[in-house]
Amino acid sequence: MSAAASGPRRQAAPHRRVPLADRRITAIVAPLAVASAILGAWEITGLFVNQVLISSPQGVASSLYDMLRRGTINGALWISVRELYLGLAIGLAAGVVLGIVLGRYALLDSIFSPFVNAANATPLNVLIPLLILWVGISAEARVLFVVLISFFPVLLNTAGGLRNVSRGYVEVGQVLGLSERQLLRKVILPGAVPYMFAGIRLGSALGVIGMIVGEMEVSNVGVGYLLNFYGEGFQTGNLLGLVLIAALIGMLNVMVVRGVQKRWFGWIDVAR
Amino acid sequence: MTDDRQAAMRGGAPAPIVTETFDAAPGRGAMLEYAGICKTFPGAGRTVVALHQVTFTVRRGEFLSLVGPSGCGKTTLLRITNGLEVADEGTLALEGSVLSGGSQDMAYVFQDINLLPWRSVVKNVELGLEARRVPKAERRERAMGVLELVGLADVANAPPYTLSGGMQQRVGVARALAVQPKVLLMDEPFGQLDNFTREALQVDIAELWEKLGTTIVFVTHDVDEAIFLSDRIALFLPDPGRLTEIIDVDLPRPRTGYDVRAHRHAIELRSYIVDHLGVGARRPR
Repeated sequence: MSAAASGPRRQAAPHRRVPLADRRITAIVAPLAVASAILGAWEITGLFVNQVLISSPQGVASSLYDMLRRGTINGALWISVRELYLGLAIGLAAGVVLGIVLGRYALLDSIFSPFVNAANATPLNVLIPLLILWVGISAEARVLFVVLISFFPVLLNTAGGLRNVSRGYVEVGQVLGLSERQLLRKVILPGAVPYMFAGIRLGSALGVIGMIVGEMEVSNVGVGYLLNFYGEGFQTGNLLGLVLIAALIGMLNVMVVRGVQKRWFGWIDVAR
Repeated sequence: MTDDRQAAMRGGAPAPIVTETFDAAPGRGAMLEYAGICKTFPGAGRTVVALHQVTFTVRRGEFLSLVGPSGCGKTTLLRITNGLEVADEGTLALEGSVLSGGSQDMAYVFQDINLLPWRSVVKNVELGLEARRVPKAERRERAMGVLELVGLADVANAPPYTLSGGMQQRVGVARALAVQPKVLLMDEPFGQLDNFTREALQVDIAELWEKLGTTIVFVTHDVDEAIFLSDRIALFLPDPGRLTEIIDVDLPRPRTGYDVRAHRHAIELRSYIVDHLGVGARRPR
């Protein structure tokens, strides 16, 4: 069906058709071109502006190189990454499990959804003082913060996904005589997987924010703490180098999630 | 029929139409009996009477089509038959026992085929057998058997979305046949297919029906399709959705599309049905 639907559309605009190889090259070349344009503009602007304010691509690169070579950020990086992935593992798993529960039981959903929505709309950093009260200025507080911030998108997407599984799929299961449990296991849960992935992608990127903010507020270790440190010391090159690392971690997360989806749930991209 | 049409033109609600339940031919008893089925969908602006007092019998082993314009309730009737909707009034009996909420002895073929994309073709066909707790080995064997029947054994392990629309609907038919239903309910199954594919599938379904002897209730708004396939055609009209008449299709079998279209009886039937549905369906304002 999907092939039949997309075929004629593609033929309708033949002048816009790009051969596959070209499209792949475009996907690599275009972002690189944009990146070099930005870097170029940055470098030029740096000639006229105080280095403390914006540093420069060269400055950032050499700071990054120095930090990595001397190993000044290795310890911080290791702590941050460990806390990030521990928090993500808990947050994403809890989001999927509780999302299934809320998506499955309309009663529970109607009871809890106001609170879930309220919590989701709250800037969670306001809870940090509370977290510190509970578990102290500790790794636990930072992990907990990553858990909190990555949990909600997964929860909401999973719960919504269960409720939005195509009615047609559900009816197929019903007329074939599947029991409620079979319907859940064989139709509704697999049907909600695309939504779960959307939530997990969001959550795994947000987790990086949680990691940084948590460390900026709650610690004297980790990448977030170093960000504070370099910021206060006007070491803009180092600061932006760390920002770059954080961004790369977020990108890596999303790429891994996409990879998992493509490898084991390839139908998601093709079947719609 | 004429009275009813006059009633509709006067704007009053037509009297309930009782189409006689046919005396069964020897050895061809009643398979499905509808008695006084009513269904109303309350809407925001207007309430739609989808079905008004529908009473008729589907004979064992026959190919019966439900034909009528959009909104005449034919799909609703099929959905009620398999428990996807619940009738407000009336009863439905399968082989003499009254049903509530569908039956494992019936299978459904949808217009939107909705093969599950996370399952291979053969696993889609096995779904109904899993519901019936058929052991794994037997399940696979039976699924492969029906796939062979519809000519798709060679794509059993392919993902369904790699198949053409026509092939997908063959899988849809195989999925329904795998549970060995007594009644096959088909809801405009070929409505989304191109003409050539549709005609090929019509021939296939006619052959399958003759081979398996399954009772088929077939919803369509394609008059030629109904004439080609059916033993009898039930005509439905909208506002309120109602059964007005059941007509016999006395054409020899096996049929081919060419023979049927050229047959004098088929031509008469066609113009009768088109006239009946086209004129009768228009609602006086």
